[in-house]
Amino acid sequence: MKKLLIMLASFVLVFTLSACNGDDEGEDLAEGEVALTYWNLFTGPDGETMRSLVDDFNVEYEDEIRVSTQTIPETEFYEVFNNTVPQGQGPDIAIMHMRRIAKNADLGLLNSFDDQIDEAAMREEYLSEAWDGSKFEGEQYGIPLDVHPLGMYYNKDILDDAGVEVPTTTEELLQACEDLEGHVEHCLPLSTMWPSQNVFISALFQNNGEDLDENGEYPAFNTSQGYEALSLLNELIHDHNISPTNVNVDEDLTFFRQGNAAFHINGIWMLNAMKDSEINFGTAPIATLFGDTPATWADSHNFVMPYNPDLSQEKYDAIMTFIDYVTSHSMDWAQAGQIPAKISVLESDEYADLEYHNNFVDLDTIQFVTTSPYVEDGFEPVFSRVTTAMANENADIQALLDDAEEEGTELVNEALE
Amino acid sequence: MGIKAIEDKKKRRSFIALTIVSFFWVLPIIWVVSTSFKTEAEAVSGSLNFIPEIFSLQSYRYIFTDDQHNIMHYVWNSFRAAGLHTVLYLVIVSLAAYAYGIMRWKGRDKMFWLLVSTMMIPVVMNLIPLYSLMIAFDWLNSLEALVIPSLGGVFGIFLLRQFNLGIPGEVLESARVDGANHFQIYFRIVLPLTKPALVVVGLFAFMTNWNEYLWPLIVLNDDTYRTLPVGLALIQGNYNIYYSRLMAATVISMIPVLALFMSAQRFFIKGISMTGVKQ
Amino acid sequence: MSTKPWNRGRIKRLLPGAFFLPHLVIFGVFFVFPFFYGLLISFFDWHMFIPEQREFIGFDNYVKILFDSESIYYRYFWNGLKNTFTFVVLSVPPLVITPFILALLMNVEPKGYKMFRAIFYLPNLFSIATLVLIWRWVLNTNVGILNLTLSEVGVENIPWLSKQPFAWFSLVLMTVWWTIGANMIIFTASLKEVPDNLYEASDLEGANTWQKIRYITLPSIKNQLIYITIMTTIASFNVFGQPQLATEGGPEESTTVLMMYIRNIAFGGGRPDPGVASAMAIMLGLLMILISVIQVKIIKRLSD
Repeated sequence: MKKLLIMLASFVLVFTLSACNGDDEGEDLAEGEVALTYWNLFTGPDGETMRSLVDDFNVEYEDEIRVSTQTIPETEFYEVFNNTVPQGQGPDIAIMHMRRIAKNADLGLLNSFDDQIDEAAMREEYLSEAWDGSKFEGEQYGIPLDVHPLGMYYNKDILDDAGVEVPTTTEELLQACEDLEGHVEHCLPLSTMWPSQNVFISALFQNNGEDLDENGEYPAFNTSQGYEALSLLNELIHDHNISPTNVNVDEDLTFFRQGNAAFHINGIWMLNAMKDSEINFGTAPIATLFGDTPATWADSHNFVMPYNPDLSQEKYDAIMTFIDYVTSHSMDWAQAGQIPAKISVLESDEYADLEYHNNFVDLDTIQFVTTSPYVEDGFEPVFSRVTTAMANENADIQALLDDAEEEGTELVNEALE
Repeated sequence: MGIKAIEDKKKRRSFIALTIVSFFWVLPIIWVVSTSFKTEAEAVSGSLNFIPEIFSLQSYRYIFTDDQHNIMHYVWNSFRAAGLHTVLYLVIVSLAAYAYGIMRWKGRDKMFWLLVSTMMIPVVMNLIPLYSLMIAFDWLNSLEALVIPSLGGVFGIFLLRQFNLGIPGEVLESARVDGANHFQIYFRIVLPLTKPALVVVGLFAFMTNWNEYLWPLIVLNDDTYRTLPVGLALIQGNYNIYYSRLMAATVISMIPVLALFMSAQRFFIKGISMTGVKQ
Repeated sequence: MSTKPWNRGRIKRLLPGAFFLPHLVIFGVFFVFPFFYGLLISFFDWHMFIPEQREFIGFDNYVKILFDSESIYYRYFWNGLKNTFTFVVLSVPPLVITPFILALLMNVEPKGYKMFRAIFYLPNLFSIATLVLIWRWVLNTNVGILNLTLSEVGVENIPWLSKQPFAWFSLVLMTVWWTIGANMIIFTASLKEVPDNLYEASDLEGANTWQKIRYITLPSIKNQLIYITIMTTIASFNVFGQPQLATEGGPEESTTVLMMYIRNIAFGGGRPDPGVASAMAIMLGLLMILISVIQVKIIKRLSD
């Protein structure tokens, strides 16, 4: 026991001492050097790429600008953002998903870029869909770094073995699955959870459905189109049996990585995880897999400036320099499993040589959810119902949509209050 | 012979039953350890083997060199916060237990039971105002937020007071006759005599702080002070599809606790037995 | 007596304060004050960071969560309360009965009982994140050990965490695995205190095992039983980590317990509403106190 006490005491002594040392931030800046704090939400392999981009930047702009990065996982990012920015403890620059920009701008948590940029000229440099999606009430709140759509991965060996072509429509998909029987355990395992919501959004848009009403406020997905989209997902699993039932989050990926699935639908961000596996795979778009109107769900990582009323011109300039550097070097970013939003990179030979990116999606078909402060309130309640619809053979699709619409309406009511 | 034979039979039966049940307690842990030594491909292969086909350290190597969410950093943070909290708590609580258990003053028992009765008030009621307080003190994202608010806990006083009440009156009386004042009695007599209880209270304070999840989740927003439970939950999101790495992280998170338990098992058992007695 | 009796007496009277004051100050600042402050918040349309935007609204938050069926907070409160309640009802019996049975087995002190005791207690020391990581892996639909074992005997893969009633079963299962050690040790300690001669007497009267437990053991450990039941119930009401990390509140918010809503509404990204969250927390707290009181009454009556 004495030993234990001594142990405890000595532990604490060490800790107390180390606690006094405090943070190792606040390194000395060179004369005239501008320090920028930068928050992002990249945790996987893309996080490593982002860090090396920042490191390169710091070397290139030594003694001029120094960027210090902090990574906050997406699950926590927006919560932390919401609780720190109003206290003036936010960063100088941050990454934000396009679908969250309108809301955060509406809540007054973002600075607009409008005073700093030549909007018309800059718009030319970026994919226009991505550029326009980062606007809120006519002002530019985000500068797009990338676009990340949903797409399909397929196992080349299995398809070759069965002599099956990559399907592009629902009928072709069902036919392919039929032909593949005996060649593979599962055709297209569909997770009932993440990323099922993005599959549903793609299906909704492919069936001409809407997410929010024309004012961008109340739910508009509870229509015959919405019904068709959701029913289709249910039937694919339970009537056509192209997927085993009750596939959990990431288990669809496991099947594919085991070589037990012919197809897999996921974001382009999974590309590197696929390369890590031993599967000989190819990529294909999903734009017409669930309906006749070509559409592919996508989101976009944007640079934003958290609200700060006294940002100096010096800092503004440093921020713009940094953004320009990273977006211009987004070829590395593409390697990490994203599609660059800067046109000069997209049109480069280097990009054209990438094996998987160009087959993954037709950029003309990408569609973002409505830019609105209420998309989280009015639309996202449907996500958990998508899971129910896909998990239960006898799910009452109409009741699920009604329920989601009701919750969405109540949430928007509360938000508009 | 009858009684002895019946006893033996009982013991044997109970041994068998306990063996079967404990199997279910151990199995998950073995499965986790086994996965952590597999290659990623074998981990997701869906085969039911406890001994890895290829014994691989690659997951451990990965998580130790991952400087983005370094698990050892979280372990260290947890140690620091829990260690500091424990020492401060022991000082504060042993002083208070002396006042409530040894000293005699008007209103002592009333005040003590008032304190104890607040233990019934659910923690959730204080969560939001405490957060506001952290904002007011500018304690968000600080070591203080992890260490100080929970120093007000009453449980330690309760436990130590029970022990203090058990100290024979003659011992205290003779010290008083020798001219010792209260601080001397506290240091020279009460603290040494209640050492086992102090260890127990310290262990519980340490473990409670070490395992706290909701509070650090709310008050911390970067890695500087982030503790193991929250960090581990982040790692879960981070490695979500790399099962073998996840399990290696899990194993690492179990080791400090295991070590503590091995070295202080009897104090844990004693402490818990005490909590249930004579409430 | 001494020359300055008045002074001495005064010092004496103040002395206890020197010992309990450090604790009392911290207790006051971080417990008593927040308690009343929380009550205050619940009567406001509260803004965490901008004091000018705080507005006193009386009982509006309470009315909203309790009665306004048009409000989203009404939906969240009742759904959360229902789910919390479900967890309490499902988890408390196994969390009390399992350790009691284990303690009975342990009480005859079979070979290696200390090792068993250590095994059952050990998970108690794991943090919630460790617990959930272990069990998510064990319960993994596709490559988890449970389903792999079941498929050996021909049972199809069961989605333990993503479909009801399996999700509740899994949450209770991991909670039992995690926490029963402490209760078991308390039971074991209290069983030791039951005088042997009571059992011997009942042996002579030919009582069977069940009768012995019902009429001798249970009444003898009444106090510990009350303590364990209340503490377990309170812990179950506070459930947060297991559903937050293991089922993420699903499927379809059927395991989103009230604590999860409270945290989301108070601190979540978007439009936090601490006033509503405080009102929910206070309702939950009152309910917990009420139920504890009822439990004491019931157990006292049953075992007298």
